[in-house]
Amino acid sequence: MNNLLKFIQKYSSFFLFLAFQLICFVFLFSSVNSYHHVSFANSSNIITGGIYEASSNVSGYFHLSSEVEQLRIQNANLKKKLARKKTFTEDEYTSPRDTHYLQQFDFLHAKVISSFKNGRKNNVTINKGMNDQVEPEMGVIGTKGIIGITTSSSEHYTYVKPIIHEDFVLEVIHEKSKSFGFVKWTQSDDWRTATVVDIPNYAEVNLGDEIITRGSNGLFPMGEMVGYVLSVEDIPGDVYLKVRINLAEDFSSVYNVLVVNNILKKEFEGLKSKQN
Amino acid sequence: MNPIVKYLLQIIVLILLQVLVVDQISLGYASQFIIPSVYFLFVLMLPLTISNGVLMLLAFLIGMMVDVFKSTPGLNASAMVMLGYFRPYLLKLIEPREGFDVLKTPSIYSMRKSIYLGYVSLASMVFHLWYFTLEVMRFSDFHLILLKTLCSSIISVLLIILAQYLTVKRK
Repeated sequence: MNNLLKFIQKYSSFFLFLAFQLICFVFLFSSVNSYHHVSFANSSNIITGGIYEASSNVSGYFHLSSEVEQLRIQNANLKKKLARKKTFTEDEYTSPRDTHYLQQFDFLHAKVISSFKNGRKNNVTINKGMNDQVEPEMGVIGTKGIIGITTSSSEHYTYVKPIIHEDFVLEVIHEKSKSFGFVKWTQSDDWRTATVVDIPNYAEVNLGDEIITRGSNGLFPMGEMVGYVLSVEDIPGDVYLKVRINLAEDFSSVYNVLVVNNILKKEFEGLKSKQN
Repeated sequence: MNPIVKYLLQIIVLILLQVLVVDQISLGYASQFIIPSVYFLFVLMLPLTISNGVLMLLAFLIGMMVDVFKSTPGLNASAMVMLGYFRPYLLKLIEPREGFDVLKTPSIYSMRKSIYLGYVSLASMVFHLWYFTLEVMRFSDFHLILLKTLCSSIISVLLIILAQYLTVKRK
């Protein structure tokens, strides 16, 4: 016993080191949805949100012009979409009136107050939270393409898990061939690219083709831009292609985002739970 | 100034410098290899007489604080504890024959410049090597870990030396 105590005393700093590393590893290797991660994110949200917001209030002035440019382009694209919906009858443009029309998605504007893009587990923080009905598991769209999915929110701030996070998975469609795939962020990707897997190899995929969201889990509307095909790789002995894409959204300059609120989410989830 | 107030101020300034300035530096294509950290300078600046336990505890707490800002639970804390554990060994490794003046805190003015540079570079290598090993988490990408460590360490050391000249008063 005495020897054991002496041993521990002699190597006390090493044991302390192991103890600290153990605590770190519990955080590091617990999954993103675990209790540790969620409570960590929720408490850190409250502490850091205010500081990041103050800092972005100052730095916001420096990129106002590029921000305005992004919004102008987005506006023009939306106008284009709207024009396609209208038809010319006699001497005025009218939108077709559809009595069965049901709105499924609502959009809430938010500002990005902090974003990291250089690590493997990047994150984006936005300045809307539970007070604005922003919850975990909602889609977030930037001005050019999708950003990611919300993970945890406090009263005024929300964390977003962007496409450039190693745990990110989303179902997407190759626009031309309409075949499904999954977008992931692999080890070989940096913040400008991502990888689409599970597109069957009989689909004709060309460089520059559009990859859009499928909208299968109700997070995003169908057809939101994800990226453009950068390279296509045929894996020998496999029936699927490995497609690398250029992300539509530029993660070095995200300032304005829209949070997607799926009004029919409850109904969809109720249906899913009934099936199980 | 009261030393505790001084150290608290140092912690706050270094963490804010890290998350609001250094982490926002964008170098285009190179920024996937150059991810510098400077806040570990705090551990290097602590007095030589500090005990190992207190050193590691402080390192852990500051690492956790940076993790809170970057929402990477455990990553920075683990790297900081690693650095805290190795600091006494690093100091022993680079100790000149006449020994250090234990009453002074390690800075570029209290040590010989070449020794201080060695101290900061070794510490930076230890910190970044562990940091990127945990982040990449695949030994098949070992060359990637080494490349990231090397690039980030060089930039970090430059920033730290610069910070020393800008802040520490000549005595």
